[in-house]
Amino acid sequence: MLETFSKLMEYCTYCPRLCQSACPVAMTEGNESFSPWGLMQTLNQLRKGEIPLDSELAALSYKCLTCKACTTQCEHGNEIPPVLHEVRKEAVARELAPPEISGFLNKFHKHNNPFSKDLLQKLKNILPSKYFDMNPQTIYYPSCTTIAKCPEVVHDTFELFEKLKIDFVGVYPEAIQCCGYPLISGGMEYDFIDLAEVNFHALKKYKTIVSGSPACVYTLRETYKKYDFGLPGKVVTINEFLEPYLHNINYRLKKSMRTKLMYHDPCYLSRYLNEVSLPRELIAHVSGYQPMEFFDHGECTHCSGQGGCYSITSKEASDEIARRRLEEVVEKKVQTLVTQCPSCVHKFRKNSERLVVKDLISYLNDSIEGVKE
Amino acid sequence: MQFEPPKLKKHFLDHLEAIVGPDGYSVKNLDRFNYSRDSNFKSTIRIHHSALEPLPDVIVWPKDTRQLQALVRLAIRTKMPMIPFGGGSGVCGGTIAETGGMIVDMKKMYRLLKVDSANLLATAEAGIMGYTLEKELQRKGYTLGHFPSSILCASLGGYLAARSAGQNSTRYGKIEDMVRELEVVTGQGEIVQTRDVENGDGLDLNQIFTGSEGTLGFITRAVLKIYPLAPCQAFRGLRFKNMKTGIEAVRRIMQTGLKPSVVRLYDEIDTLLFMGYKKNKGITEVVKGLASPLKKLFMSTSLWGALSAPKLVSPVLQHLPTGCLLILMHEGVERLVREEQKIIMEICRDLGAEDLGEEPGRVWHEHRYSVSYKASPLFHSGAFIDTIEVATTWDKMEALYSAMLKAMSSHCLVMAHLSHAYPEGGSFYFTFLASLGGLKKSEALYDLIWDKGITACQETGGVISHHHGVGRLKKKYVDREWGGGAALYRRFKDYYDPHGIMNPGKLIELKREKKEKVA
Amino acid sequence: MFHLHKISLIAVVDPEMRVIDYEQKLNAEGLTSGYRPVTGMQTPLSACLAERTANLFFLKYGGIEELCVGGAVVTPQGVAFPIKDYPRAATGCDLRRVVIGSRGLLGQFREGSLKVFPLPEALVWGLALFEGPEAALEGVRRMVGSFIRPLFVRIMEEKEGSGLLRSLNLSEEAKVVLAFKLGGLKGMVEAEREAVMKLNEADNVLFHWPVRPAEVEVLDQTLIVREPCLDFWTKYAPLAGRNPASPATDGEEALKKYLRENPC
Repeated sequence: MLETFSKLMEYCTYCPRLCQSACPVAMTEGNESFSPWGLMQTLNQLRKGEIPLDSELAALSYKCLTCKACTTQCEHGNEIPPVLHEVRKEAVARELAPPEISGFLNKFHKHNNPFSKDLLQKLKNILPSKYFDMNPQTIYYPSCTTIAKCPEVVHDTFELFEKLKIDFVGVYPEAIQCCGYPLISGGMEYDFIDLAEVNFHALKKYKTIVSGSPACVYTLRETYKKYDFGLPGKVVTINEFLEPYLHNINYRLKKSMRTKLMYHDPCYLSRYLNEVSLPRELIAHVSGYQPMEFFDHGECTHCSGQGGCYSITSKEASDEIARRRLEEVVEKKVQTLVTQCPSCVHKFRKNSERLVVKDLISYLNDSIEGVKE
Repeated sequence: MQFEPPKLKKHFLDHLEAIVGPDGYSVKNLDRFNYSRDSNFKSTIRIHHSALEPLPDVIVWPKDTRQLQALVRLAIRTKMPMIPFGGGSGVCGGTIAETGGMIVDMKKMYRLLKVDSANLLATAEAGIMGYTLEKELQRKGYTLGHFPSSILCASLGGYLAARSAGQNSTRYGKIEDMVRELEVVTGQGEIVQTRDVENGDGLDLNQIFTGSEGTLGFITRAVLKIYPLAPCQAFRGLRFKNMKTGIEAVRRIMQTGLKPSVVRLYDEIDTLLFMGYKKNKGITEVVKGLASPLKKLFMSTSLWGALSAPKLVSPVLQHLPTGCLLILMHEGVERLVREEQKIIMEICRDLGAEDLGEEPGRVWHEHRYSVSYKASPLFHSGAFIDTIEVATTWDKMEALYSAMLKAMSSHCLVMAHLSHAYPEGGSFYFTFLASLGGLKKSEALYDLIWDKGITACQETGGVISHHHGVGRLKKKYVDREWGGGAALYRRFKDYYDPHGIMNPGKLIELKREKKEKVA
Repeated sequence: MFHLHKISLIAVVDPEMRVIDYEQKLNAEGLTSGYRPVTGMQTPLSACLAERTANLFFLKYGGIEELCVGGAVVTPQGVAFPIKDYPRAATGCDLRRVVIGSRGLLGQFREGSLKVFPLPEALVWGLALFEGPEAALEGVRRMVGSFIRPLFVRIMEEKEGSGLLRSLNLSEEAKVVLAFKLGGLKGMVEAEREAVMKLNEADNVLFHWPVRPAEVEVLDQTLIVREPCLDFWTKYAPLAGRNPASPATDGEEALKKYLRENPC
């Protein structure tokens, strides 16, 4: 199962663990076994048949945010998440995965989302019905985390569309369900395939699918392809979609928006989708200022602690990762943190009482008053 | 791979859990496996053959000094060996649980506690990683000035325990020059505070614990000297005809009293490897025509030819007409940087150096941590590698270089650079490569190369480690290294570790241990 | 015993030699010890090594523990051993540095290898006039933080400062005078002089650079040659990032007691 990764795993085994200080899990939990080095050198022994895949080893494979900070640090560019996905898949198939994972799956199956809630109903309370009835070619795909944890982002997105006179975007109405990111990331491959197939048939008719969640964009655009569900239409991030409008339309700005803010790069946006400068350009475009930066930013960003099912299996440490990330915001005496990932927004809000945590779309919507007549 | 179960009593674990809580320790086999080695290359050779190092019985993560003190007291009662662990970057096997016992991972004590901008001092817990510490300081406008190539994977405690040196040590000093105060939990179970006695009265406890490699106690906290970030940096590369003139230039530079940040002189083979960096246009131009066949030699199967017959190949490589590359980095106020560069360039020109412009220096800086990534591909393709870093005074530098090269080169491919320089001397950093055979054969060859190298070093009057430490790897040479001075260390050991539980089997072969065995 | 290694710039000396004699021997060779003990130049090196006697010129050359690179030691029990000369090592505790300052508890030097330096090509006195002691400290911090290492720095407040200005026939009034002496290669000293002024430019600090022999004589006599200079340490401790003469810690006292009872 792991032979295709043998070179990578050997490299990691012989490496003096050079990526470990980049790894939020290793640095927060402090356990060598959870560092990318520890994971790979242990799994390398599994590959060589020296140790068995048991529940202890299966649990180890969940000690990763799949944030790829290690890949950025590694001069060989070693990617750890694909190796772990293989092990997680095997662990789930052999019922060796941690109990939190099977618990998650049970919860998930109730409404095909991680929150055990009817999110379509919730979405209908957020948006006027016209967005559900318009039979559009372009749709906004709200992630389940956005609807469940930061619904204002959905509202702000459509308000911003209105302000910018974008009237052709509808909302994805079909029995709203998850794209499957947590399933595939947690190794629940069969369940993912089932879900992806349904989604594929519902989504294939749209020319453009816009999402404010980088993990959804990556899953719909890239992961679906790997399972032969590549969507014919374009899957774009909300920034990619908005950029031309923000540059070409003559709109009024609110002056009061010039507050000091920091921008946090979500790992899926910056490292999986390589979108680093665009969010900054948009912030600068509406505020006239570059956002303040974390020391580790852009492709060197730190994960908020929510990624890769880690928050399911390691709740406390995952919150601790978020709190450590926020220390720098407090240190810089900044009150507003802008980011663009519902998981990051949720995670940071959960772990900070005083900070204003905003999705970039909400920030843009707050800054723009409307199109000049 | 068979993991022997840990030798622990339920009673012991109850006590342990009372101190650190249920999440504060692990007896899991996979954790024990992951703590069975650090980054020393003997262990890497062993893992290549799926051979284990001794496993610790338990790994513990204390959160503060009090917890650690309680752990030491528990270990005293139960005669449990204790081994401190930071980032696991050590290359001398200093954190291997030779006789089992408790590995104490310090990474939960990770805070930068205070930055004192008035006195330019920083206080940090020992478990903070070097890179994290430097980043947090830089966030506040300061630097520790400590940039070892292990910065990505070493902890502050590890820096201190093994007397680490950064690449900029010429300017900022080694870690022992930066340390001002320490907090240590000794093997007596006591918390000892040290104070700064530099240029003043008092017994220097800092210099007892720094370098003690966990054999006297756990360093838990340190106060360190810091500097404001330098406003200006400048780089230079120069080429010397041979090591002799290069060494002479470095000596003259250092004896002017100037403090450039980096002064590194590469010998012919090391220069060649340096040119392997993709972006290194400047220097590849200079040795056009040479680089490519030699690069091929290193990258292709003929490397294995070279490794199987080092006796034949080494002399050829050592006389390559690549010349020897000198890398310089300057930091500080612009006016001073310019003057420093001017003075140094004059010295180098007088010795016939060729100015290669700033590019080689910049490239070096960009790839300053890259060297550590090179080991993996080599091991993967069937070679082993290690480095030996030694130091001496200027009068012996050339002799030390030649003697060690001669002693080692019939067994392996060996290259060196003068890595750290001071007014009175400097250090040589040897890199050696040999091919991996079976486990026994590889281990024997590895030991032989080390023995040849270190013996030549001691015979020439050099010190056997400049910044990697001793650990398990070099302990058998320390008695000769210290001579009668070992009596001093033994007194400290008797006092601070009366129960003999602190990192046993490291730093020096204790006569007491030997006697007990005989008895 | 006095032997000079000119390549390594190391002098091997009998520690019973007085600092003044040692310095004179070196001066004759165009070298300097870089050492000016605060207890005065008559102090024998052995006492300086045993007590880690502070060096007035430590900013530039370091303390005696930095100057000593090896030697031969005899412990209280009479065990004699050499410490080879080396710049830095990572072989356990630094035997040189634990013996130095131990007041004989860990041993005494029978022979000392000390770093020596070329006599400075240029020496320049600088006086900077500040509004208050905190501003003057900041001035020194800027210098030290930028690796400008004067031989000597002194902050003089109130009467002491104005007294110095008067003795140099300077008419300016200043709450605090920062006096410092730069030394080294000619080009470097000039660069340092310019850099110091530039560093303090924004604060409109007034600088004087007394160059006339009479002025230099006054400064040397008042600030450096006066012996001993025991008040030096407590006043300038923080400047080099050192805590002002803190008392021995309990841990240090306990080890001393143990070593007295169990001599090496």
